[in-house]
Amino acid sequence: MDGPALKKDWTVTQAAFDLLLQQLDPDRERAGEVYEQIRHKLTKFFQWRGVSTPDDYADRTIDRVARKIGEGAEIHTQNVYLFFHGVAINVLREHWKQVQKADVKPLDEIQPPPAPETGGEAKEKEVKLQCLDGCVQRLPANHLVLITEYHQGEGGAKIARRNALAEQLGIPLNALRIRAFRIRGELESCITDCVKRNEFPVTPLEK
Amino acid sequence: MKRTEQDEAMIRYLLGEATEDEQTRIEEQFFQNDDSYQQLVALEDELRYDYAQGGLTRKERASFEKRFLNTDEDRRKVALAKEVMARAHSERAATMVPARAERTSFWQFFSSPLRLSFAASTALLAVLGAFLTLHSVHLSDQLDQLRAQRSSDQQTAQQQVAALEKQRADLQQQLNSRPTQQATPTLFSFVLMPGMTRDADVTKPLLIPAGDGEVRLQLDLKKKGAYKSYLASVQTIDGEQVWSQNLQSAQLTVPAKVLPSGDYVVELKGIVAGGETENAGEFYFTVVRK
Repeated sequence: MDGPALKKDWTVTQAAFDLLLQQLDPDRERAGEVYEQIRHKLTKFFQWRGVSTPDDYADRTIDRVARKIGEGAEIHTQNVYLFFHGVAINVLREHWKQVQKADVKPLDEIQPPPAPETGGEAKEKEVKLQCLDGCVQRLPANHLVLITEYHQGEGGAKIARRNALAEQLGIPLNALRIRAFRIRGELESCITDCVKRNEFPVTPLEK
Repeated sequence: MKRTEQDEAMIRYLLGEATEDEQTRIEEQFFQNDDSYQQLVALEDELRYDYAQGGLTRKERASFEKRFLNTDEDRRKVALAKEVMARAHSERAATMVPARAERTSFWQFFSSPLRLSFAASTALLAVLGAFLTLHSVHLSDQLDQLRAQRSSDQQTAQQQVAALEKQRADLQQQLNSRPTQQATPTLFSFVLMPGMTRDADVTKPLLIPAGDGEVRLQLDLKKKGAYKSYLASVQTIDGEQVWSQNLQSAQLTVPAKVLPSGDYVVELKGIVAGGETENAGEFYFTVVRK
């Protein structure tokens, strides 16, 4: 269940969007990259703040910023992210007000029931298991060692193990975290792509 | 060991437990700093994997479920994380044997940043392997010694059995080669009455089968116990002695071979005190050999 209906308070024009990109970076290609980074951060911001449709609220925040720029506001390069953050907090507050008015439960109070499994999903599971095996087996040995060592143990022992692993590799713990994250991401992407390549269309029931 | 304060703060933020000020500070950090943002994204994913493996505290689990386990997509991600790590640990365990070496070249692997970890693990395994090998060799030596001892014992036992078999065979051979009469000496026993004449009508002949054997002659004395010992002499009717014997009682045993068919007489003398002898009686008999 999503939050309250998102009221589109302004439509981004091409001119306003161009101005926004210009403010992000004079180089249009680089500006496009910064735009994507900001959008990602805004999406995660709303997700981490418990909004059920973070993409929508990220777009709404960008629209607001574009409108302000269109209205003559200037964004200093060093403060561009903070500017977006400030607008995002305002959008978030408006969201909470609308949630309270509509008496809509926030995301962290919603517990949708799990969907029942169908025959097609069972087949997909089988495909996924095969993909899982294949992708894990293709993982380079040092990557396999790293993620299994990283996700070993519990509590203080686990933290000590990760610190020791970082020390062995001669990298900070933060860098080790990113490295483990990327390996997991590669594995998941491998599995997802494999499932997509091998999934079977579910034959519709005859009427 | 505990997490760093920064990690603790980020985890509180992700789990929705941070204060307003803490939220603002962290958000300003990650909006301005890509590394900080990446750390948060990685930490969120890490929490998912830790949750999937049951590695969070009770409180963290509850907060994680409220924040990150609300949609089917959330549950799918957690399920995938669980499957990925289970399979990865399984694969890692399987690669403890050298089979995995074929997928990654030796130098490629050793050029990785994990070389120190791998080297340490390898060294440990090498030491362990060496110990196990030495232990195995020691056990193998002991086993060889036991086998040799058992073999020696078996050989000794076999030799003893063979010696006994040979001994038994020799004895059997000796037994087989012994004359029949010695093996089973035949004894023919007769009772002779004193004073009988050689008249065939009165005296029945002693029928003795041909061959070796012994003839026991029981002398029936009229006066029993008169002598402590006797001297018996077996003679042909012509007076030729064929056998003599000192006796403790009135019974003598004569080899059958000295008694071919014919008439004989046993002269029995009783030995009195001082070694002198007295006539104790004469016993006639006839031998018929068949």
